[in-house]
Amino acid sequence: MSERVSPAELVQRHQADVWRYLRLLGCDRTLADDLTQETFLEVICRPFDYRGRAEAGAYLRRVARNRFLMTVRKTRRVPTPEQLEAAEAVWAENVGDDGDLYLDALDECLGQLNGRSAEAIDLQYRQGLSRERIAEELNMQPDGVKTLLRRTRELLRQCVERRLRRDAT
Amino acid sequence: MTDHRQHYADRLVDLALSERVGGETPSDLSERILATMQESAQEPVQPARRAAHTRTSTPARLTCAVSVGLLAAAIAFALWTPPVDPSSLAKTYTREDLPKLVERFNRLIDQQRYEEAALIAERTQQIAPEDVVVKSLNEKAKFALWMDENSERIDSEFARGLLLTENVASNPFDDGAPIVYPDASVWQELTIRRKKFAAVGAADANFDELIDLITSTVKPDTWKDVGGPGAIDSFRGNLSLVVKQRQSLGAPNVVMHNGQSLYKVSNNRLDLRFSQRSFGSNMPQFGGFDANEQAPLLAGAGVQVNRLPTLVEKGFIPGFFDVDNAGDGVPDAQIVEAWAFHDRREAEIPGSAEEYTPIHENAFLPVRGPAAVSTFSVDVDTASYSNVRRMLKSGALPHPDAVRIEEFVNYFSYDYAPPAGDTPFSASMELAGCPWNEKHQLLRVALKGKEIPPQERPAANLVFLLDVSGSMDEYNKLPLLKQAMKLLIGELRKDDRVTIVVYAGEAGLALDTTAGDQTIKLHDAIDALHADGSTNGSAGIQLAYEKAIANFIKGGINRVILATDGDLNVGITADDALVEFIKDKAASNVFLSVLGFGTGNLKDGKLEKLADNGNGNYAYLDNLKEARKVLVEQIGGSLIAIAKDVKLQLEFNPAQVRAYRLIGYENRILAAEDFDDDAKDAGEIGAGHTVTALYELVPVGSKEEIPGIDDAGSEEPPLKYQRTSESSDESDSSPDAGKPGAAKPKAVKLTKAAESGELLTLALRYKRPDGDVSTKLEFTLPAESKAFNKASRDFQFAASVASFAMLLRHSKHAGSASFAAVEEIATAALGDDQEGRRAEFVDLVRVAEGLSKK
Repeated sequence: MSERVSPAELVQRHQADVWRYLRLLGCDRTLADDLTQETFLEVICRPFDYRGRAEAGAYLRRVARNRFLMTVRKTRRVPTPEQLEAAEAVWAENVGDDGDLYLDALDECLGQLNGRSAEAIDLQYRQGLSRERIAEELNMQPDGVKTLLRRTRELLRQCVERRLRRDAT
Repeated sequence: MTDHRQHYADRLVDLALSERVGGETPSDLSERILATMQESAQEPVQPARRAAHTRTSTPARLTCAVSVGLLAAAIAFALWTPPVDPSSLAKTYTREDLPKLVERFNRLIDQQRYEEAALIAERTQQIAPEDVVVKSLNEKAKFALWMDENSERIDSEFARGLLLTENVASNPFDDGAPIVYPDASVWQELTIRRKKFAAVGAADANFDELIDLITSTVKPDTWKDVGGPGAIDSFRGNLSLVVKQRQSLGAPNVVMHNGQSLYKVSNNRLDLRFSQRSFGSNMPQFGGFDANEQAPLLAGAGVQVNRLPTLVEKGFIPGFFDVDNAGDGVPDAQIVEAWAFHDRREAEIPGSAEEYTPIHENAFLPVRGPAAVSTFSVDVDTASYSNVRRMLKSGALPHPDAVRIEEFVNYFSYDYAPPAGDTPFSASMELAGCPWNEKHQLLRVALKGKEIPPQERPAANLVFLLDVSGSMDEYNKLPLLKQAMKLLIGELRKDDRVTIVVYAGEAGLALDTTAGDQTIKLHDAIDALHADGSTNGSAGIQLAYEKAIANFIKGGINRVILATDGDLNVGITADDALVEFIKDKAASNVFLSVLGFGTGNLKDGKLEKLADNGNGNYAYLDNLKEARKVLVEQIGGSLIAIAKDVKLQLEFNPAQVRAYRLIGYENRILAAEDFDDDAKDAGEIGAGHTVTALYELVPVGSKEEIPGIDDAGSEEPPLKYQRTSESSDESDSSPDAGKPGAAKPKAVKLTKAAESGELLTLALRYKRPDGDVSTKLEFTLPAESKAFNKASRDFQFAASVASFAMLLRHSKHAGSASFAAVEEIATAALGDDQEGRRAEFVDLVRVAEGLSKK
């Protein structure tokens, strides 16, 4: 069953996830901004029935992905089909049609971090410090910081996935 | 999870963190999108200008601008031609933006986001195409993308051991796109270290002579001078030599001599294309280079900063060898070395003749009855660590039984307080959380032998007993041994005596007793040694001991130094008879040290047993650096015993500890009653030696099920903290009493001492080196534990070494230990690490992690 959705509503509902999806594919912020705009412009100016959030989300992602591919093709940095498939699968399994749920789950998991893991995440993401600076702050070697951050992200990933699975059931 | 999925899953977390923690939320683009729609509908011309102001950014991205224009026009007219002038777009970024863009580029590369980095690089090119920084940025981006795109092929080549060969060499990257290897910060560190050496007299390093020496000795027909592919260059700035050799040579590790030192050059399988570009300290990390030679950059070999860990995981260790051209013990320069093995099978142990005695790890024991007392002998051997290091560097995980945890831990020196007064060694204890099991505690018992300054060292009577059988004829055996002996001789004095006995070949006596200052005579005798195929062991060990006894120095060091790769054809063939013989001689105060060499034939267990019974120590020398450590830096510890038959006995307090496990020392465990028995032999401590023992403790109150610890013993020794009682009534105040499912252990009554708050009592017994009667020392430790991260740095480092060894042993007690955790703890606990041994340990952990994934 389709509903009528104004372009403004469509953009409001989906722009954040389209942007995040483009970032996942490898765009930086600026490129993600550009391609998000292009995606909506393309979708809006075609005949388009809104058949619910999930379907619209999937359609927008497909368009966004094509935009992304068109952009990177000239730079010869085209992701392989396997990479695209992996990105899509990661998105579908974790984010689906509402990126905010993922972020909420992440919030809960962040609450469980402590010690140096929590500090390192804060220094990197909130304070935007370089690895060397973080190393100084935590009295570690830069390589150690890299490992620590990688391991912490991995723990967070597992935690978020567990939560999403739990919420789904 | 596939690599791609892993990549995107990680990126998703990264982005979510940037959004949630870093506040990098998606922009609200609604207004812009709608405005563009309206604008397009009304005013379909000049799309380029419109695109420029509706977009949040980047006119530099021409393709996007065009497509937005196309879309906008399509809404109104369905037809449109885009006459966009790219230069007008490029102008929005100016040179002032360059530093920011470079910084952003660096960050993206750092996060391995190469595609985005490449876009940034493109943008900078539009601003200032001729700028050297911009050029470099673009080359880096190209190379990073190439690496990324080809990572699977590269990985598979790594896996097949083919390693980036002609494929990489034919790759269009050249010296114009240099890559810092291993990493700018590493080079900086190296430079600092080199300069330290320079400060102690290495400033006059004669590179030309050294390079001549290398190129005329190692594969002399393969160097550039004679039209070959090999190149070698010096980098005076950090006193390094950088060697390039073609892997197609398949050259094995090569050892060379110049009569003074030994060098090893083994770039055989890594076609390193070192460029002489250097790195400007003021330039951004990826931003360029200047003309001052400070560090060599590596180009085109498929090695780049972000792949270095991968490289290490694949079994490479970039290594740095000291070169002691002057033979004065001060490195003149270093050779940068990269090990690589094109065929991992070569390195694997199965099928070789090496022998390891099985180790059955100590189990948890209950702090109940006689089991509450733990007794063992000290062990200062370190051979297991250097032997395992050799295996890991050769690209193979060690045989689990080659890993003796206590020898790993004791390989490193720790900053323990020296003894005060007349006591030959100090003892201290520390208690903290256990890093691999959060419910457990880790106890460290630390001993430190008294330091004896070289001038106070007693005179030495050294008899070398050398294996010169055919199997010793390999670069890392007899040649290394000869170098090692010369190092040791360099430390000797007039009142020292040296005798050399060989036990293969024709003659038994290679050098009759000679004073320690007769350097030329001693060196000549050493130079004359050569490995011979024939074996005639009859002279062997008896002769060595005869000589040692004949030249016995009262109050001095009297020692036979056995050096072998494992062939123990020393004249007494039956193992037990040999052990008995050595034990007997040790009683006459002639001690035995064992130096193990080489691969493939090492009889590790047998050598350790000999050293243990000969009141000596066992070291494995895998390179000259190790030889210097054992025979020069730690000559006191290696030769001067300051205490013998050192035994430890710990009685745990059941009011505090439920169970304990001694980590390592499996072949040093003694029966409790042997502690007070002076006839029972135990280990020695040398001057300056540190000995570390770790216990994993399960505190009282833990509900954890630990197999075996609820069975009480049957003996009733008089204990400080408990008495066993006949009936199990309410007098049983043991913390675990009445535990459901427990096998009705004999009731234990705690003594008054158990309420003292003490965790344990440590008793030590030792004899003076020439004494027969032991002295007893006693210490207690209050039951005050702290968090692991509050423990001393040495404690943390020792714990990381122990957990590394447990992982290599596949120990069932390894708990949550992982290579990554070991690396993290050890890295944070490097401390001063002047000799770089702890840093080398961290490298080994990475290698082991890589190997374990295969």
